[in-house]
This record gives sequence, C-alpha cells and structure tokens, in this order.
Amino acid sequence: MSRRVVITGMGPVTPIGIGNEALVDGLCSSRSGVSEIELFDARTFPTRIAAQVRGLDPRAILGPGATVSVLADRKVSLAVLAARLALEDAFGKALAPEGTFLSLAVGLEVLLLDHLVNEPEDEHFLRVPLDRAPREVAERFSVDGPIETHVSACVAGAQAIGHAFRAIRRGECDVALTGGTDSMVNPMGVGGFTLLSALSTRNDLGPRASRPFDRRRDGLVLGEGAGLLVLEERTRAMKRGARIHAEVLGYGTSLDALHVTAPPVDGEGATRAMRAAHRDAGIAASEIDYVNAHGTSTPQNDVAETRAIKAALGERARAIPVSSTKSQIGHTISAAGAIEAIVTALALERSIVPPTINLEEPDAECDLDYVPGAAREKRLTIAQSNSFGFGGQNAILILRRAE
Amino acid sequence: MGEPRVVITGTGVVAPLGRDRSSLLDALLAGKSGIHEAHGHAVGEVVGFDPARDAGRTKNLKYMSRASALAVAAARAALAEAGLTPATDAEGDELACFLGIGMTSSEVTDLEKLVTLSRDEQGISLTLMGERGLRATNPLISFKILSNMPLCHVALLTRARGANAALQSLGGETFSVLAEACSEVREGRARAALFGGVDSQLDKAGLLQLSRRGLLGREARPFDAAATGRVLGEGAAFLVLEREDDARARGARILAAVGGIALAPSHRVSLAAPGVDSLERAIERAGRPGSAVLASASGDLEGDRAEALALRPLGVPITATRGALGDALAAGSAIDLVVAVAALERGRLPAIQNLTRATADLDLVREPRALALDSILVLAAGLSATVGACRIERAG
Repeated sequence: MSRRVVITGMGPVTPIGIGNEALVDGLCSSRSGVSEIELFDARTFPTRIAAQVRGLDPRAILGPGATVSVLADRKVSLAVLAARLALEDAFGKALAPEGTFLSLAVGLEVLLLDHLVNEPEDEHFLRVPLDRAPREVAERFSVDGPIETHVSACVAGAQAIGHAFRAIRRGECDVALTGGTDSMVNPMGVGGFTLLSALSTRNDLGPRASRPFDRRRDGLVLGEGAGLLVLEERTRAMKRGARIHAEVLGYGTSLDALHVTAPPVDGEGATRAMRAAHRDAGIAASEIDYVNAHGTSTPQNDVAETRAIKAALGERARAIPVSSTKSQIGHTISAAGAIEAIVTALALERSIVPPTINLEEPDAECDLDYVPGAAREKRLTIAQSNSFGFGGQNAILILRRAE
Repeated sequence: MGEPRVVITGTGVVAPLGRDRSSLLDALLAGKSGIHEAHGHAVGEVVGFDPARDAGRTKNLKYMSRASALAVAAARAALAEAGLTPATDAEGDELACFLGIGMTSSEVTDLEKLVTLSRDEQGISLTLMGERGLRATNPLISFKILSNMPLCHVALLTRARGANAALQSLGGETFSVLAEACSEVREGRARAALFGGVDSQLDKAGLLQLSRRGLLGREARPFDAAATGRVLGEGAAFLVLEREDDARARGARILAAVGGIALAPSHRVSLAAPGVDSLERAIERAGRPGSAVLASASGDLEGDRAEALALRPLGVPITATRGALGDALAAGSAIDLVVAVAALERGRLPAIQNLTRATADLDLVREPRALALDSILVLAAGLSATVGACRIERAG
C-alpha cells in the first residue's frame, strides 16, 4: 500500500481574504478583489485594474532586518506571510518540522526598467535569482530539507504541490511546505501581459472585468497573492492528531507542444493531463464531484477548457459544478495553482461550491454548470483543480475529502 | 525485487569545448580550455553556436532566447542518439520533459525600444511607458523572458508531450530535476524522459550581477590555493532516461545507468560555499562511493574547500571540469553528467585544469588518467540552495 498524503495546513494570502476563514468568507460572499491599480501609476496603461492584496505590510511581515530590495519584492512578503499561516495552521507554531521539503512556485523577477537605464546600485537587478522567496521562507521557518523553485508560470503552483505530494508518497520526506507566490502587479508585469494581449481592458467594469465563461469576457485580470500548504504523510498526521483539510490523491501533467504562443483550441493537452491525474489518483472520471477551473476569462482558455473537461470527464462533466476562482481574485499566475488548490480543499472540507462571479450570460460554447453568481452548499468527495500555462504546460491536482 | 533501474540511452550537449560527449571529453583530455575574455571577464562561452542552424525551426527564433536555442539543440541530439524522437503525437505523449533552468534570462537589447520610448529627463516615466513604450515593443518579448520557455521550446521542437516541470537551478537543483525525471520513468508514468539543464547569461547584466557579489575570478582554478573565484560558463546538456527493461526490450544501446541520487539543503556558510555536512549527507545517501568523483569545484576557494573536506574520506580519484568550461550553473551539473557518461565509456578521466598547488590533500587528477571505472559520483554544489550527488554507473 503506497503512502498517502494529506493537507494539514493552509495559508492563503489573496485579494479577497488572508487566512482560511477570511478566504471562505470571501468566496461565499461573492466578493471581487479587483479594483484600480494602486501599486504603481498605471494611468496611461491600457489596463488599469488588478486584484491586489490590501493592507499588505512587507515591513511588518519581514521585520526590521529586511533589505530594500526584499521589501520591494512583494512575492517575498506574500510567501513569508502565507508560510507562517500554513505552519501555524498545521502545527500551532511557525516552525517547520525537521526534514521539511520546500517546493515553491515563484513568479518572474520584478523587472525594473530604471535599472536598465541606470547602473544598479543594489542587488535588485535584472537577473536576481528567483529563489529569494524560498530562501527567505526556509531561513525564517527553519526549513532544513531540500528546496525546489518551480518557474513554470501559470502551472508552477500546481507543479510545486505535485512534486511535494510525490516526494512524500515516494517516502523521500514526511512533511512538505509547498505552494506558490506571485505579484505581477508592477509596470513590467502588467506591461508584459499587455504585450501578450492577454489582459482585459474593460477598466470601466472594475470588479466585474474578470468574467470567466461569460460571453463578454475579454481577457484576464492580473491578481497577486500566495498560497502555501503543509502536506504530510497521513499516518504521521493521524498519529499527532492533526486536523486534515483534505487528501491529495493525484497529480498529472502534460505538454501541448503545439505552439508557444497559443493554446490548442480543443484543449487536447489539458485533457491528457486530466487523464494522467485520474490514473495517478486511481479514480475514474465519473468520481469527480467538482472542478475548480483554470477559467482565466480569456476568450480562448474558457472554451478550450470547457472542451477539455467534457472530453476527460465525459457524461460526468454536465452533472457537476465547475467554477473559476479567478473571477474573484484574478489570475495570480505562479500562485494561482496553489491558491486554487487551497480553495478546492476548502470546498471539500466545508461542503461549499465556490462561485464563478460576473457570469451573466454564458458563452454559447461554455455550456457547463459554472456556479454563476453565488456559492452553494454541497457535500463533495473528490475534486479536481486545473492549471494551464503559456507555453503549453498543463497540471492537474486531484483532492479528496478527509476520511 | 528491487526498483527498476533507470538507464541513459542518449546524451546531448552544447558546451564550450564540444557539441557531443565524445568530442567534449576529447577536448578535456587534451587539456583544452573553453574560456576566453568577454565583457571584461573570463567566460566559458559556447562559440559559433548558430540558433538557426543548430536549433531547428527558424521561424521560432524571433521569440527564442539563446538559452532556449541551446536547450533545443542539446535535447534534439539526445533524442536522436537514443532513437526516441517522437514520430507521432502518441509517442510524444509517452515522453516526459524535465528541465533545470538558470536565472531569468532576457537580453537587455530586446527592451531597448521600450526603454528609449519610455524615458524622459528624469528616467523611466510610467506615463510614457503606457503612452508609447509598450505600444512600440515587440509583443513576443514576453515569451523570451518567461522562465519556462526553454522547456516549452524543447517540447515544441521535439514533440515531447508528457509529464513535465521546470525548476530554477544554480547547479544543485538540476539534480532535483533529474530525480523527478527518473521517478517519472521508474514509476511508469512516462516511457522515456528528456532531462536537462540549460544556462546562458554571459552578457553584461549576468556578469555584473555575479561580479558585484565578488563571485567571479580571473580564471577558473578548481581546488587550487590561488583560486580567485568562478568563471561563468554557459551551455545545455540533456540525457534520455528509460527503464532498463524497456531499453533492453527495444534493443537500445545503454550508455550508462543512473545510480543513487541524493539531495540536501546546502546550509551554506557563504554565498558560494555549502556546508560540509550537507555535502557529506548527499554523498552518503547517493550510495557506495564510485571509482571516481567528478566534483563541482569551480575555483571558489571556500566552496572548493568544503567539497574537498567532504570528499576526503572517499579515497578515490577526483576530477573537475570547471577549470576548462567555467561554471554553467543550471547547465553545469547536467554537462558533468554527460562528461561522466563519456568517461565511463572510455575509461578515462580528464585532468583538472589550472591546478598548480592544491588546497587539500586529495587524489586530484592532474594528468588524464586511464583506469577501469565502474561508476562516477557527480557532485552539484556551488551557488545553489540545494547540493546534489548522483552516481552514474557503467552500462551492463
């Protein structure tokens, strides 16, 4: 019998709530975290809205010793806060047990154009290693196991969790701190996605701009945040009487290998990743009770994803709820897969189906039950969390209600 | 019955001294140096690499970084040798792809137009950036910058469609990637895996970053008492991994096998020096010591000393490639794996270059040495937060 892996700690830091209770409240009250960009002057940018984490105080989170460049990199404070919450949730104190494996997804480095013009004076330059956030987390919470930094953008969060899950299942470690952190709400982050024509320019809609599966969706809305989880080998968790949020049952990935800049319209690669995850979990597609969709609110993704879900789940696709948390918190890129895994675990634990807000009139080709408008109460046993990325990577996590 | 063994049936490398493992080993055995001067620093540069010729499909070049092109060239060579280049999508579904990638690489020149148009007397103006800078910028630049792009380009140009991950690596983390790739194959989720490391940041920005931290030396002198720091290298290296039974069943030529892989947090004592205990832990967990060690010593006095201390009890010959190639960080440890495969095949160990007076009393290889090699322990340490040890075993 192979080792089982459970989630015993979760630390979400999101635009609609920090911590599990606040996040549940945010999901159930159908709040949007999207508003005008306040983190920099975006007045002349085509997109001037994003989902920001309000009241984040890097100085309070990181303490007096933090350097200017670490303070300026919101990914670090988001991750440190999320790690603290996850560890406290799991162990009652912010300290990683001996041998904890750290598997973290980290977003792209903040690119400061000023530094291309002027000779940089500090370490904060074009090519700072992305492992600053994992290092800060490791040092602050005494993580003494191996460290992995996942860099696969939109699927990185799910992949980081997938690797932590596999490492525990294989017996390489008993505890892992894992998840993702990202903030692209900066000039080059918003600028870069603008160049990709990926962002919604419906600034007038504000909190209603992120509208997955809706006929009038026009692109994604950037978000920022972090989601960290404590994964633990199940007997270890049971022995110490830990509260189990959910079990990680399976993980699957695939590559589209079709085109670097465009997703396949039929979602074929995503379907393969879903099937791989079902195989890995040892379940049939008909056992899935809920899908937390990637649901970016881009014209292409939502149609392709709908097709992929139908192809992988067959009849079941029409019988179950499918919703997109990005409707509320935007696309948090490297944190998305991790935050959404937490949302999925909360859905299982609290018997709630989170909503897709702003879905007023579904796209003709988006014909599933997307849980429009408001959360529902429903007992769920097995749920699937989808992540797809630019460049054609797909990653799927399968979670089960704690037994 | 033990776990199925994972074997190597193809290698691909693009390194300063060679584009395949044989010529790379020949150059190392001949004592050649791949290091020259650029941007005011000694660098281990891949000279004469032509992405259009060496990385295949030219229409992708406009949004392919040099790192992506290097990776594609090495990955294709590895698959070609293994005879596993997918001919159909179904074959691609069975091919996993795992990659260790260096620091985010973007050529400053790509952003010149954006900078120029977004600039006023005071510097960068966000107002101007929104008004005209962004509009005039090539939208494909974002694809050059995204960290996972080398993986995606490799997938696209090899038709690898299976399991995958891209991890950031400064060296040691590349062995984490290898461990994941091996388990993917061993546990049967993929028929074969492409595993590799790639790094290319030999420009002003990359060099400045490391030199400002005092990490760069005038020349690379592994284990030498007069070492002044590492020389930055670049390149890419890939292995094709399969289960031994699968490889034998299809009659593949088995080049070598992956023995134990072990990882440990580096518990660094300085920016470039891992803790000795971390290295010892990784070495011990990688299994019995092999017939020789390929150390990751780069010419960093403190880092090399830590490695020397950890390796002393093994009592086997120790060599290192970074005196000749520089430290290609994410790619360096993958290049070393390829060198180890070649050394096992040929029964010859290259000498450590630029080693005059050793810092430690070890059996350091000073002249190319011919000896019967059963396995080679490859170490990956240096700047990374993780140290790794991997034993490459002779085929058969």
